[in-house]
Amino acid sequence: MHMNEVRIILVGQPNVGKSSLLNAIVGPRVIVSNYPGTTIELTKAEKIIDDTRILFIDTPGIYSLSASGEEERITKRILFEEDNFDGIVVVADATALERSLYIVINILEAGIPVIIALNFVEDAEKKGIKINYKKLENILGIPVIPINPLTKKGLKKFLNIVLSIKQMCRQSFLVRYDDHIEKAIDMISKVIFDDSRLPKRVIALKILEEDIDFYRYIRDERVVKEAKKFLGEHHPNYVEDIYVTRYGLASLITEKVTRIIPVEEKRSLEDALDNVFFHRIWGPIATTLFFTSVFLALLLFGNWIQGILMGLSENLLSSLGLSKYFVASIILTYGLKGLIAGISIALPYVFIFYLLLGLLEDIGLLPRFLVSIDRFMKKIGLPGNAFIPLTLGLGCSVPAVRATRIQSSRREQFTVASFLSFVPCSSRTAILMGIVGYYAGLKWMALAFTTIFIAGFIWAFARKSIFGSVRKPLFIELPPYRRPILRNVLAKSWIRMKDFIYIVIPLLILGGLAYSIIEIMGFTSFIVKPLSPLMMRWLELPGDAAIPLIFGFLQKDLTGAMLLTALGTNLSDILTPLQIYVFGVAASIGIPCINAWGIFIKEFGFRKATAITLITIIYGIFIAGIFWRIIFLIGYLL
Amino acid sequence: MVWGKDNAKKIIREDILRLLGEKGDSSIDEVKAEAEASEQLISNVLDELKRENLVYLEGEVVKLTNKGIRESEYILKRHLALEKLFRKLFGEEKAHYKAHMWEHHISDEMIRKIADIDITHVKKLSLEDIQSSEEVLIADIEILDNNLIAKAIGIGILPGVKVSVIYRTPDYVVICIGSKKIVLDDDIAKKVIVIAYE
Repeated sequence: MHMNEVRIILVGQPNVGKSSLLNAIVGPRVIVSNYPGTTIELTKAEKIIDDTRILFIDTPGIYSLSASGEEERITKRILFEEDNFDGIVVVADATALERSLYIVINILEAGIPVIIALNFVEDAEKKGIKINYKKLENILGIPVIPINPLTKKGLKKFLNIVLSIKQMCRQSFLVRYDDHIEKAIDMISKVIFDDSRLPKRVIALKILEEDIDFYRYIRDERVVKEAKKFLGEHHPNYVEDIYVTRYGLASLITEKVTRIIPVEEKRSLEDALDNVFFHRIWGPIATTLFFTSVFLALLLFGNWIQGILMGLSENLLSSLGLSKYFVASIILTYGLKGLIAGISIALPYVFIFYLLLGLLEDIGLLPRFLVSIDRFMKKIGLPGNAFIPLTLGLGCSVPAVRATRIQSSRREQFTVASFLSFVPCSSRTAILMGIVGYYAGLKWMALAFTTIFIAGFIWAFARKSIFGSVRKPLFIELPPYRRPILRNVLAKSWIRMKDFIYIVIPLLILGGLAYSIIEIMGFTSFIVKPLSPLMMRWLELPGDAAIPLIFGFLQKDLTGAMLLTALGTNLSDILTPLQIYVFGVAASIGIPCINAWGIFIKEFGFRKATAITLITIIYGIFIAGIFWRIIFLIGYLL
Repeated sequence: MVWGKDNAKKIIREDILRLLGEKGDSSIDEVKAEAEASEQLISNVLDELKRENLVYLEGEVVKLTNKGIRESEYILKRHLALEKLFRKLFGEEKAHYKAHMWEHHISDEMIRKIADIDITHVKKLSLEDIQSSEEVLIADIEILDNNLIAKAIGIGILPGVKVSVIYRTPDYVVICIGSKKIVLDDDIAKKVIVIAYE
C-alpha cells in the first residue's frame, strides 16, 4: 500500500508539554538524535493513521525564534531554512498565552502553516483564565485545538487537523512595525535575491534582528548598513523594538480572546516549599542533604547488586570449566566483569538516578534544586545545570560524561566533563573508604576527600582565570509544581537509559576485554615499570605500591585489592598513614579509568580525550606529592 | 497579503485620530501621508472610523465628530502622560520615542494607571532595588546583549508589564509575571528598569 507522509515540526516554549503530547500520541517509541555538530537533541516519532504516516520532529523548548541561544538557532534553522516539512504545530500554554502567540506570530510572518495545540486549558481555568479559542482561530486564521495529553482529550481532533495540514493555505500574517522600521524593511527588501524561499519582508526583519544567518540572501550589504544607520538614528535599540512590537501584538490578541475571572488561589504547600528553596541557607542545605542521602542509598544498593552478580558470574565461569583454557577464561572473565560493572552501574546509579531526575523534573523540583545550589556553581565557574552530570559522576564517571550533553555548547560540555576528575565515583570512593579509611583511619580519609575537593577548586579557579567562565547568568523559569505522569517519567528515563545501554555498556565490556588482552600479552610490566621510579620519588611510595596505582587506570575496582596483594594485608604496618593517604589521593584524581577515557574519545575525539586524561592524571599525582610535602612539613614543624 | 489586522489597524486608527486632534481637519491625502500604509488599509480604517461615528467626510476633508474629538483627546492625553513619565525617567531626548513605542501595545488599563501616577514621586529603580512582595511596572530594559533581550522578551519581561518580586537573595531575585515564576540573576535584574505605580 502506498503511504502518504506528513512531516510536522513541534515547536514551543520550555515546559509547555511538547514531549507529553508526543508521548500521549506515540508512547516511548521515539528516536533521539543530535542535530549535526551540536549538543541539541531532536526527538522523532511516527504515528500511522490509515494510509498516512505522520512524522513528528520535536524541537527543543525555545523562548523566541531569534538567533539567541543554541536551541533557538537550531529551531530557527529548521523552520526557516530547511524545506522538508509540511507544517508546524506550536504547543501553546494557556496559562501564558501571549508567550506562545509571540512564537506563533513570528512563524506566521514567514507564511508557514501553523496549528496551535492549546495545552493546560484546565490549569488556566483554575487560575480564572478562560480562552475563547474560536475567536483566536478567527483572528489568526489558523486552527486552534485545546488538548490534554493526560486525559488524551482533543488528541483525535488534533490528529485529524494535522492530517489535513497540506491543504491549509499559506497566508502571511503580517505585523506592522513602526514607520521607521517599516522603511528600513523596504530598503533592505530591495536588495534581497528574488529566488529566496522566504518572503523578503521576513528576511529583511531577520537581518534587522542582527541574525547573521540571513546575510546570504543579500545582494548588496551596503544597503543593509545604510538601512541600519537610518534606523539607528530613530530607534537606538531597534532589535528590542522589533521584538516588543511583535510581543505587543501577541499581548493584544491575548487580551482580546481572554476573560479573566479573579479566583482565590490556595497554594500554601507550593509557597512553603519555595520558601525553603529560595532561602539563602536552607536552600543549599536541603539540596545537598537530598542528593547526598540519595547517593548513599544508591551506593549501598549498587554494592549489593554488584555482589550478587559477581557471585553469579563466578559460579557460571566455574561451571563452564574453562580453567584449562587460560586465554579463553581470562577474556571471558574480564568481558563478563565489564558487563557486570555495566549492569551494576546501570541499575542503581543510572536508571534510578534518571528515574529520580525525570520525576524531579516533572514535579518541577529540579530547576529549584539547581537554583538553590547555583551560588556554589557560580563560585567554581560552572553552569548551574552541570550539577546533574556531576552528581551522576558520584556513581560512575562514564555515564556522567555522556550526561554532559545537556550542556549548551561543546566547550561547556568539555569543561564540565573534565571536572569529573574531582568527583569521586563509586570505585574511587571504595578506595578512599576501603583503603585510606580502613588502614589509615577516618581522619586521613576525610583529609583525602578534602584534598580532592581542594584540587578541584584549584583546577576550577585556574581554568576560570585562564579560559574564562562558561557560565551564563542565571535566568530561568520555574515551572509550576505538577503531579508527575508516571508514563512520561518512565518514557523519559527509558530514552536516557537506552543511550546508556547502547553506548556505555559496550564500552565497559570493551574496557574489560582490553584489560584481559594486556594481561595475556604481559604488557603490564612493560607499561608500569618505566613509570614507577618517578612515582616512588615524587610520592614517596614503595615501588610495589606504584604498580597498582598506575594499574588502576585499567581496572579501578581492583586497585585496592592489588595494593593489598602487593604489600600484604597488614598494610598499616608497612605504610605510614601519610603514605596511604597519598596513595588514595593520587588514585582518585583525574579521568579515572580506561572506560572514562573511551567515552571521552567518543564525545570529544581522540586527541582532546587523551590530552585531558593525561593532564588530569598528572595533575592528581602532582597534587598528591605536593600535599605529602605540605603535611610532612607541618608534622615536622609541630 | 493579510495584515495582522488588529495591530496594523489599531496603529493607523490611533495615528489618524491623533493627527486630526493635533492639526484639525485634514485632507484625505494628508491622512494617507501620515499613516504610511496601503491605500486599502487606510480606507478600511477610515470606513471603520466613520461607522463608529468618530469622523465624517466633507468632500475630500476628514473631520472629527464630537465623539471623535473626545477619543482623540484621550489618545493625546495618553501619549502626553507617557511622555511626561518618560521625560522624568529617561530625559527629553528618549521620551518622545519611548512613548511612541509604548502607546500602541500597552493595555488601556495600564495606561490609565500610568496617567494616575504622581510623577513627582517616581524614581528610576531597577528590579535589583525592589524588595520582596512589591509589585512594579517594567519601564525599560537596558540589556545590551541581543541574545539576552530575545530571551527576556520571549519570557515576558518587557516594558509595560507588571511584575512582582517574590524572593530576594544576595545573588538573584525570583519574580512573578502573570502566573509564571522566573529567576533572574542580579546582573540581569539591575538592567530591568521599573517604576512603582501605587
